[in-house]
Amino acid sequence: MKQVLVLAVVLVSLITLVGCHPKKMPAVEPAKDTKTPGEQVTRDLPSQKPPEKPITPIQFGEGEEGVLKDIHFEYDKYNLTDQAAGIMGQNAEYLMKNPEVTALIEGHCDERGTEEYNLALGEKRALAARDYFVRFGIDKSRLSIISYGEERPLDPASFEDAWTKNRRDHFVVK
Amino acid sequence: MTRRDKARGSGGVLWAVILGGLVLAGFGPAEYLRAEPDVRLKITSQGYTKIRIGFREAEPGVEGRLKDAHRQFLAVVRHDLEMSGYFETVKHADAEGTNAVVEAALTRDRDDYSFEVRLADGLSDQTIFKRKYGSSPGTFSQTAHIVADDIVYALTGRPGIANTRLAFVAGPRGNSHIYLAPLDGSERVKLTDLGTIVMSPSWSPDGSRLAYVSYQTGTPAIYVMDISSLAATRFASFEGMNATPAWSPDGRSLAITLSKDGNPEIYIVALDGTMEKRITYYSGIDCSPSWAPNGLEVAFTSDRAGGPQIFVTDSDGLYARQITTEGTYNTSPAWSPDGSLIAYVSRIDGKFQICTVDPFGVTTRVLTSSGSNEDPKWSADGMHLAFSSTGGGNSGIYMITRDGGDRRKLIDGLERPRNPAWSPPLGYGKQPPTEG
Repeated sequence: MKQVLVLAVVLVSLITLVGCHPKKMPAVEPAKDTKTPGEQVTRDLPSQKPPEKPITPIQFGEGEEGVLKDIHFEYDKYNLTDQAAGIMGQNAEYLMKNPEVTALIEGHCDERGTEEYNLALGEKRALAARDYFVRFGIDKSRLSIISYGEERPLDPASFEDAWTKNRRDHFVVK
Repeated sequence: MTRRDKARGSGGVLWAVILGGLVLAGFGPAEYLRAEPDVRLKITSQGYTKIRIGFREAEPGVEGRLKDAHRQFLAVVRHDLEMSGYFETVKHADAEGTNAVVEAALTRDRDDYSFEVRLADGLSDQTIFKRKYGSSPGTFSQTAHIVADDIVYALTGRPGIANTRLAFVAGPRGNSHIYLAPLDGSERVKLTDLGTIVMSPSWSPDGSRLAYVSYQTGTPAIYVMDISSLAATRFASFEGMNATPAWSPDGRSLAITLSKDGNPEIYIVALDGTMEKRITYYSGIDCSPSWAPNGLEVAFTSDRAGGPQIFVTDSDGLYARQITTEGTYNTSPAWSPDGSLIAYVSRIDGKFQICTVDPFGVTTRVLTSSGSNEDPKWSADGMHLAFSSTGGGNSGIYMITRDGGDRRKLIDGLERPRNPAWSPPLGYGKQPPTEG
């Protein structure tokens, strides 16, 4: 008898569970469409509040090397190669000799790779350079970093040479 | 107990089991309890057979000048039903084998237009629902989307996708914009015009707000825009990178990638901008969080295994399991709304393809094969994925079913459309319409 009761309770609970169903989907106030479907139209909105700091539209080829030389990275990597370390040594010496100078380290990727991962990859590349400077003895407060991922390539072309050029840290000195 | 009593006792259990089995067999989704016609989606071993649905002119007929609008309305409903993936539309509603029939009349009382729609069982003609939808000449197609979604819901129990929108990014590198477009692509609205880099739009679960990344102050910060007012407020601008916003299923926080502690890690931040917790602890790259629909786990990309792979952690960051192992480059996880699959991007033979994997990394499936495909994002019904595709001059935003079929282009004509984000159905969660 007890077994039958347990089974009955189980069955009733199963039926109740099965009986639950989500809310019905509602209708809404329709928004206006000003064109017939099929026509593809782009609308501009009244301009938003201007950005807090005016931004210059980005041009390709901008950001030629200054006093601090660019370093380059291998595909999908953010560690400093021997060659990069050599250049970083020279860059670090310049910063030591000019203590009033601050530097912005930009991390970049080539266009291959997915966008969000490239943003993080560029960040790691910039951090690798900053960490090198800090270990060398340069005060962290003189250094800032930013990743542009694949968004600001030096060379917008789509082949190996351009890609190699774009996998880089670029330094902007102030 | 005597042997006889024991035998009777077990006989009683047997009857209970048989009755229980009959009861369960007879009762499926709740609708059956109301004895409605049997034209539900049939799940077969190969997937499911499509519901055959036809259209019939309703009584009273439509007056002359409204005939074109009526025809256009039906064409949109028909298209939406086919796009949902559940239906095969038939030419003649009275043909044999038609499972369901739609009748729609358009009536007009001065400036008030309304569509009276009746959905009926194809065999018995029993009414499944009969509803009146108010409309106006500029909004007939949106009413059609709402009707199509109501039909999808009535016959499958799932939310439709016809009345949803896509947010996405388009424009040249360095000067991109976030756009909003209905799924039929008919009208795109530019939501941002900042002259800078924008990325990664992400919808709040109720579809009222959009989070995104913008470089408008010079460094990447996360903003939240209210969709009805288009007002944007800055949500996160921690030191370093602020990126990849992913709204929690309860709408109360966002998982984001920050580099403030020395390298890209994932954090959960409350809507008011206060830090709640950190959930990854690896010195390399951890980024691109995607929440499980139950809010208990988060999928993300990490290179802790050498190259980028997909991992799953609990929302306290206590463990992390690797769920992709094939290939050397797997990124961009997107957890399906029903929790059963994680879509992601895998580099195969030098190109990117959209793949799915179960949350324990047991079974993977490749969904695309042509071009290079990125940014998978699920529809609210969990049946479709939107993604961006390039290659062969066919760049744009596309959708496919979760099995990789029925590929359709949604957005083209803009420069490099990418980063799609699929809104929930408009008006989600509001009161149901009154029955006509």
